[in-house]
Amino acid sequence: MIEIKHLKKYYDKTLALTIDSLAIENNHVLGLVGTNGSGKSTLLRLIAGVLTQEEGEIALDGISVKDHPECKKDLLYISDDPIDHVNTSIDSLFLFYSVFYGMTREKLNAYLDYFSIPHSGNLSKFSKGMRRRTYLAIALAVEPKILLLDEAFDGLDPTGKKAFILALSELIERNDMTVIVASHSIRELENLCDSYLMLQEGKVITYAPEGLNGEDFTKIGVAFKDSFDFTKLSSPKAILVSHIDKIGTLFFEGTKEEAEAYLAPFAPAVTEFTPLSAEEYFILKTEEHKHD
Amino acid sequence: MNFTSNGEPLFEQIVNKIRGYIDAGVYAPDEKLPSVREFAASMSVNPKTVVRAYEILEQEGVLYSLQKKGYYVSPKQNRPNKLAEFKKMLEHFSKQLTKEEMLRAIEDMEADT
Repeated sequence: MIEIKHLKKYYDKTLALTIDSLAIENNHVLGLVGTNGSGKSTLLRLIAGVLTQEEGEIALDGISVKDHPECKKDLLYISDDPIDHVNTSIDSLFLFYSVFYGMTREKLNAYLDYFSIPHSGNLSKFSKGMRRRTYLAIALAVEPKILLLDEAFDGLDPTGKKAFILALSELIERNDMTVIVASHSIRELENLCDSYLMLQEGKVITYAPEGLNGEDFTKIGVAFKDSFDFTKLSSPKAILVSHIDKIGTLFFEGTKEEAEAYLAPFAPAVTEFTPLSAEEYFILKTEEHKHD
Repeated sequence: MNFTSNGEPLFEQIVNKIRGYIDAGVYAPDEKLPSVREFAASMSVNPKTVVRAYEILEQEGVLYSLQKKGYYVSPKQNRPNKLAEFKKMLEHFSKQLTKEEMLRAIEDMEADT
């Protein structure tokens, strides 16, 4: 279990990240979403102990990361751009990681086979996807209790991504793992994450601890018989996405019934409901935050 | 709601799939089904869809669940016996309706579906 309280991280005098309270259970995957520079990597680095916060506490199973760095032996952090690939062989990588973590060569080789990566070779000769899969093979072979992945799927094709999620799912169940996956694309994380934390400019703009239920928000297409002032439709719960001529699109935070009740006074000629995708939800939340 | 090309909701497809596995003997009574996470990953669907399917089958008595462990196939005697139910229904109606009336009622039901 990861617990974060009153966290503040500064780069020089700038507040780069602030999180008041967050708890992540075992057997759980948290999706960390945000644009570049939103603070995702900073958060992962703070949990991993690569960076230290100026204020607040991060605890793994009750033990403070700052005060007891040895509690990190069950935590593995894979950054979005591991720089050691420049001229590293798989053998060296294995040696490096096995100093800090328990991992057998047989297990690593089995996962390398699983991802169709040769057992030896220099990473500088690998494609981006192959390098990514090599690090993911290491992540699985180490079997950490806590796994932090920054832009995990960057460079992976759909087959590689599915293969990884399949293998990871088995480990999460078996070892009661906690996983945090950071991505700028929430669409990538759909179907994998149990909960989502969305960051923007170092602040939490939304936290969905139960995941994203497609029925909590709807996308509505409306059309009117006569010309219509669509700005009338905007409200805290309804965001006007686009409109042209007599046709418009809204994001509505609420159920279909609530949306129907909301639109009734305007009497649209046509109303069409589609569930919001996770990506559209993220855009909605980002827009809402901009207006705050 | 997630639909695929044949118009059936995704969770319903998964319910039918699992029923098929059990009927075919892929999973035996008291055998554990894959965890929600693993099953969802292998089918590339949202885990919530799998949970919904598992819960429906649990309600029907096809599966039972053990807390923190997962879902298991119910022993044969706990599963609803559709044939026995149908026989009981026929016996009940044959006391009140003639054969012609029963056939007409079935035709009406077919026309509605």
